[in-house]
Amino acid sequence: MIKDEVGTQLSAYLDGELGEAERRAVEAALSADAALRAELDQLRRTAELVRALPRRAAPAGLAPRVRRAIAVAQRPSRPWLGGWRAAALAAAACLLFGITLLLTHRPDRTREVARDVTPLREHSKGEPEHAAPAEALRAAGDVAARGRSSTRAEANGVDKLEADKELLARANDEAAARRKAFGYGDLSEAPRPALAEAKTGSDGRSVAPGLVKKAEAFAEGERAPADDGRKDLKVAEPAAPRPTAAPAAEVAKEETAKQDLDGYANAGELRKAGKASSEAAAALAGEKRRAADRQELLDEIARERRFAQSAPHRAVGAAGGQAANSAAERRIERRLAYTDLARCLAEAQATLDAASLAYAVQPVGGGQFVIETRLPEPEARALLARLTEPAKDKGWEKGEQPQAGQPREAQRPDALVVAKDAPPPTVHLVLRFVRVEGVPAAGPAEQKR
Amino acid sequence: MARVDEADELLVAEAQRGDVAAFGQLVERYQDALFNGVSRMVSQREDAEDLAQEAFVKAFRGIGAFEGRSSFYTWLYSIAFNVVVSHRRKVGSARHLRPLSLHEGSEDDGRGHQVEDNAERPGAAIERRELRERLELAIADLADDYREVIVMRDIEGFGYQAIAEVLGCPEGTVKSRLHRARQALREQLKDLLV
Repeated sequence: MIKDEVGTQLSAYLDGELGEAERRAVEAALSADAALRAELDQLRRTAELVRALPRRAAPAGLAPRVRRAIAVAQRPSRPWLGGWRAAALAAAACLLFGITLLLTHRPDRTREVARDVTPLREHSKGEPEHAAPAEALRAAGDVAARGRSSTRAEANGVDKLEADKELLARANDEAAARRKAFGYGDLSEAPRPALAEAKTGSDGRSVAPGLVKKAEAFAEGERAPADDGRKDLKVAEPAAPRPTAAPAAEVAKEETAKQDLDGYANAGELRKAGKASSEAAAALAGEKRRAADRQELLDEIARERRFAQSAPHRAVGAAGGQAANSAAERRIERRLAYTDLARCLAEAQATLDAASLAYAVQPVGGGQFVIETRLPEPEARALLARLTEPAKDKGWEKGEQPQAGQPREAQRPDALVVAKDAPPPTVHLVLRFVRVEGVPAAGPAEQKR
Repeated sequence: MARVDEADELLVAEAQRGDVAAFGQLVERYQDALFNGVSRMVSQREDAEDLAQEAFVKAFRGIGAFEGRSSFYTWLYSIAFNVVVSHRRKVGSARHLRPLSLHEGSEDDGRGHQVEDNAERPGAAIERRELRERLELAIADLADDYREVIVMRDIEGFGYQAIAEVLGCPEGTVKSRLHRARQALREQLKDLLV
């Protein structure tokens, strides 16, 4: 064995990984070569140093994390998906698809919408150059399946609009069944927001974005959808706040268009809208503009929700700062603790309705929801005085349970970042309702009002 | 590491029958070793935790395919090794990064340290710490394939055959690569070895 070969065997010799013949050859070379012995010695000491390194213990939380991850991995895929839940999801998916169409077709894309809509109508008359919209229907999950069904019906000469109406009726029935099954009938029967009276800022624009939403599905926070702000729109009932000076006939006309779109925002309805007169097209454009406003506010709420979910005790401050940067308005935030969120929601809605205020309700997960509205500051403070739940305390803010007898004044400052462009008299009021437990029966819910 | 461990065999057999608790015992048994090995190949402690967890979960999912041809730990380590390699493809090599144990807040379990006592020469603890930091930096500065074999052989204590199984290469490759890795490390630590 030549010297270089022996050199490459030194580590294996140290580790006892050589065969008998190789070992003898290395030992013979070592006995004859002092430099080789020195190299072997250095390699041995190098290995010894590495072996002497302290071992790193796993963090205490690793095993529990593994157990949790395995438990999650073991769950059957969507075992709860069945029966009426599946039907409810299908209905929600249908509505979500329709709403998504509304939201993604902003006013600046009106022409695109018209292109999407009109060909569907014309395609049903057998004009092949407008066949593309059928592809759009295939693009969205469960709805896509139904879209394919519609496409087949179209190929068979069946009236697509009638098919879509049938689909809508089924979806509405399923949604009603879902509400009933969740036991939210009381919320759905709560006073509905009246159309907001116009709130006009100093710039002459409507500062009330026309956001009136029901949110019966999240009074139980654990059931609240938490992924996507748009998902929550499936229970939305957007109202159309108009300037008070608007003629009643115009309001009625827009309200008709709004109901059509809100109740049935799917591709078939858009086709219907596309087929309608220029008057209906104008109503559609107005609705899309309002949808854009609504989406802007929902995006803002979604940002807050992410903060709330990641770090509840820091959520208000962080979200407040961020929102203040994005919304050029004076902002007031209050966190209100309730033991009965369903009742709280109904009461809050009734109060806001009585004041004819436009508002948006949004679940933020973790048993919380938020009501947002925009209104003059004096009205905001008066409203807050009516709504403020007297069970807040500093411990609650940190995630502890409120206790009777502790300080009950709101611990949050009125957040008050005033952006340079904010119209001073108008505030963005954010009420965050949080369900608390363990409060004595004579606690907040009983004392409210 | 023993090729066949009876306790492992029993636990593995139970885990293969779906006994999560049995697999939990395997986790408890090997979490320190696996974390120690994984943490030597990445630069962030959080990454090491995540990757070790991922390896355990993958092992649980795939335990039905474990046939006992190697020790359970070698099999587990090979899963972790693949997880680390995938991670490295995403974030880049850990080479030239500050080794994990030198980050503030990192913790060692103390094994490998000599017991400090009042009779210890003044400054000895500092020297030992400096030596450890030199070593950590030297290992972190090795090429990935060198660091891998050093970790597997001198830290994990794997035999050449087990290393070859993990790496998926012949034992001869392991032999030559380990020798070159030690030579590279020796060059970096030359002043400590005179």
